[in-house]
Amino acid sequence: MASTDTVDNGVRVSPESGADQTRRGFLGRLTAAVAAVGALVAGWPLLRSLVPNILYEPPKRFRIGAPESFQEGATFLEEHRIFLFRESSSFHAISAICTHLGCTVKFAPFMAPQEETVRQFTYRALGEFQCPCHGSKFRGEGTNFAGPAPRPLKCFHLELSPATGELVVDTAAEVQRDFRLVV
Amino acid sequence: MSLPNIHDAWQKLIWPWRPESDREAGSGIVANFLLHWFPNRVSLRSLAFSASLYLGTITFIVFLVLTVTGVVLMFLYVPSVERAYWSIKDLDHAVSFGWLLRRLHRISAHLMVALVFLHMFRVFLTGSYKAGEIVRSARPLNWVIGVSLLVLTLLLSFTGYLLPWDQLAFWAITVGTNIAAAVPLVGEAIRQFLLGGTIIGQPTLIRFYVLHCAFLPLVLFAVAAWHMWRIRKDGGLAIVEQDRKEALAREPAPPKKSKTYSVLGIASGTTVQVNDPTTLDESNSVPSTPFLTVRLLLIVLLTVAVSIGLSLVVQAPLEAAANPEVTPNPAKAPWYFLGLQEMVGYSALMGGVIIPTIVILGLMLIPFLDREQKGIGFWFTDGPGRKWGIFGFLYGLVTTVGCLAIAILAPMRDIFPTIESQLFFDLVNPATFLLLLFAGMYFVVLKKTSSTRYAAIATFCAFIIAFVLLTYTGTALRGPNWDFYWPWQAWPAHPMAL
Amino acid sequence: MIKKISQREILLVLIAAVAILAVGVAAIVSDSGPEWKYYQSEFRTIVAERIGDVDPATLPSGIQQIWVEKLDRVDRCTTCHLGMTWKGLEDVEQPWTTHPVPEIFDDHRLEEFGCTVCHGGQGFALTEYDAHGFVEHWEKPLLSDIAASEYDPRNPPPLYEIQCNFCHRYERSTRGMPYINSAKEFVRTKGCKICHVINGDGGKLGPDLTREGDKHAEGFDFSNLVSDQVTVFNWHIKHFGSPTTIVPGSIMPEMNFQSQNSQALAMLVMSWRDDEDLPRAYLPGVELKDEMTPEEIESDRRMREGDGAFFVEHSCFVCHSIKAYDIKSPTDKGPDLSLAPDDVRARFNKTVEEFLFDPTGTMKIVLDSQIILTDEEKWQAIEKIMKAYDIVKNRAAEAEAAAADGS
Repeated sequence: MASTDTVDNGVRVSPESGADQTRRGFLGRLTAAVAAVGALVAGWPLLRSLVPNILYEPPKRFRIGAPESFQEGATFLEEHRIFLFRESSSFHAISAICTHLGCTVKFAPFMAPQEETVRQFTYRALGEFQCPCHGSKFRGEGTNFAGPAPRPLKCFHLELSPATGELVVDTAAEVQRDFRLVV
Repeated sequence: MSLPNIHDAWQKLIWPWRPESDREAGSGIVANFLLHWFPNRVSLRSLAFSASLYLGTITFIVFLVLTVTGVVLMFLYVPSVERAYWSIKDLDHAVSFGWLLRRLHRISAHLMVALVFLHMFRVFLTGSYKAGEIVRSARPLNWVIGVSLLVLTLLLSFTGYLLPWDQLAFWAITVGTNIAAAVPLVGEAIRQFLLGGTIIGQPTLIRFYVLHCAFLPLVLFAVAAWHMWRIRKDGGLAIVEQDRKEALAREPAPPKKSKTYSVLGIASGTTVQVNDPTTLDESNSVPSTPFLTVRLLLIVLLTVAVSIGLSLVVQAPLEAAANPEVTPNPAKAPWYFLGLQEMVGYSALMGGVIIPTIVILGLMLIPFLDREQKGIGFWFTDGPGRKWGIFGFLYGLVTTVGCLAIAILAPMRDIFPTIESQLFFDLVNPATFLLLLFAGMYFVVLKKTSSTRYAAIATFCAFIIAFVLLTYTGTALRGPNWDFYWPWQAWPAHPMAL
Repeated sequence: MIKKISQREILLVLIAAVAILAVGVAAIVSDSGPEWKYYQSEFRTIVAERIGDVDPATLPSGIQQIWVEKLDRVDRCTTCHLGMTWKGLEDVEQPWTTHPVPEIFDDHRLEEFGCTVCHGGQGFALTEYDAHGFVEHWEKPLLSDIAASEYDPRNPPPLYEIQCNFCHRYERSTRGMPYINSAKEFVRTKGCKICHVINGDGGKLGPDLTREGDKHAEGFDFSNLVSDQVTVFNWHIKHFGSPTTIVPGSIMPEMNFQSQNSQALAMLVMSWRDDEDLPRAYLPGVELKDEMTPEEIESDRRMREGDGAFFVEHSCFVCHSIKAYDIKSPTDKGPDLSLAPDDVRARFNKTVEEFLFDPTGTMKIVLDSQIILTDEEKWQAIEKIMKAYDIVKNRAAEAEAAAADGS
């Protein structure tokens, strides 16, 4: 690596500089090794302490209310950013977070529900999703069909709470778009 | 990459740390960023443990430990009055190794304060603040820089003390800032400037946090760098004066070297090294690499090992959350201020303002009041010096215990119940007695020995003892209501809610 | 040839390096194997034995925490107290047991309350000793039977009721709080407010007790309290037992409280803390209503409970007054229903019955979509309207007669 701004002061690494085979040399290498390992071991807590064990965040699994309290069709749960769909006693939950860059999508209902087939899946579509940020659009079951969104909207697992009978959404558990909870 | 290539690259990296010849040792110092700080060769006298006990080095290493743990803690601590205490509790319980970080940071802080004092004691007792006669060094200036480093260290510790926002923190800072308010005329203004208001609250916390984490460390680092640079410029530790004397004895008047180093033609005059008769050769010195570097590696490893080891056994206390409505009984300042707090118990003006000012100024003036130049680098200078040191310790012991006894057994307001003047009690109290006794001793010893150095040794040793005894009194002998308790006497039980 | 470092020096450095390694390993070992891991693995065993087929992967693992933002606290108790909300673990020992009286979770949901707001203790902590809070400088330890038996070994008072009353303070009596309820009864019957201001009213002979629970231990004089327990709680118990013993010269009369009653009163007084920061949703018994005059309250009551209640229930009164029943409409958009028979005939040439079953105009829209009445309800409405009409006609006749008499 010849550099034009350093001056060659004529020092070369001595030709004899190899491993010192004496006991001192061994001790020296051993010490260096132990010191290096010791430094890593002693330094580990500094790094590990920065990986949090607890988070002050809203829970990923939460109750949203009794099934009876939801109207037919789409209900937007603002603080959770989820659309809850009800079709008489069948429920499913679709994320309202656009898969492009995370804006909250809006639901644009159709004048009347219509049968749709998207990627070999047939269902009763109540409308479509549109993202105001960059114009992405998603079918009623979540598949992206316009704009820069790269993936369909996520669908979340739903269940009934055994304790209270309320609907429980688990945003940490994704499901397929044909998932339905029948109450 | 083939094995010989890796070997070559490795050699290129490590050769300055393992020089094979004196030439390589010298070049290694100049060629390497980390090593260029050191001199080419270091005198055997300086390298010896007894010269400095490596106290300055250890102090700086502890400061680096504080910086590293401090930076990690900055990710985990929240400087808001609502969340500070909570974040410390989480550190203690829910953060992996949080307890270790906290304990290490705290123990290192206390160690650093103790070490700067010990380092100052060493520098004084070896007379290393003296300029020397052979070459005019700037050691007196470096001593003054050192005293300001002491003050900076105390400020760093004080500002950090508030951050846990528990009862200990809150009330210790209440006491400390009220001591500052005792300064005549501007005291209250100083206090409000420190607090960012009239009471201790969020402005205070954020002010202390920024001072503690950003401003003071930067200032301390810069001044410490200047402090160490001055050592290099002055030719090394003060004991090098003995090497110079030896060199002069061999060759009475060395020829003055012609080279004058000027910086961009701006600086003038000659540097210390030009007039230095000492040639550090094979007989009196060794190359810095590897001798000084390995020695420093040893000191670093030992210091860090001891610090971590202490952290495993010494807990970091956390009292109840700060409650401005409830003062704990007793409410004590951090340990290094407890000697002050004891004296402030006699008179806020004398104990909190006048005496500390005299001490700081007095310390700074030492190299200018004592201009003798013999025995530089030797502990206590010489035989008589040792004698006067012991005298100073004993005198300090007797007078401090005496003044404490007066304070405890015969408080001034009991002796003079009819006098109402606050000024009278500010002037007539055990702290003043101590001050006058020490000042008197200085002049008596000076008269007797005609030596400013011996007088200074006696006074300084008395000061050391007084500092230790007053601090001990404030820590262990003062209980609730600042009443006197022997160490074996139990304090009354602390009442609780349930 | 270059001078080499002495072997002794290298050996010293090696020792120092080993020391660093040793303390580093000691530090890492100290931090691993936390207490809660054992309790969680035991829980898995217990569940497998008693509940049978539960997928172990769904059992809690790692630090569990309930962050109750509204109450500004975080509770990690459920890291070890794993069976709290499970059914079927009632006879298992602590910490895996089901919470006693599990119905309490119906209106005290765990996510909204946490644990320490009711039980005390140190929610931050993850070891039993620290979490139960009987440590120096933690001022709110667990309100457990063990703590309570310090005061009464045979009959330990349920100290958690102190915390119950922190929220339930404004209720006259609450299910599940026998001690506090009895203490509140004492306050009503023994005349405490004659001398003490409590919650805004009372006398000034004694100190204001509204926030007595917040008074710090340092503010009490324990010099006359002869006991092993120098605590505020004990101070109150003894003070209720005999005020002049604890506060010589006190003018508070001796009430001859038995120890259990003194304990209950002490618990009540310690629950009286500053609840200004408590979100209103956590304060039962606190009415969130506009202030109404007694006349307004009375007229409101008559509307809801009188003969015209039907029209209030079914929202008719939104547009229609019915003066026969003293029903006042806030808008009076439509005509008074007391005169409906005349009005409907005049406008639509129908009877009320015909109109109600076959409405036109605005009423058609309203009765089609907004106010849906069953047939039976329509008949009820008609019957009431006819009765209202009679009442109004009678009143008019009486008024004429009175006027004729008068003149």
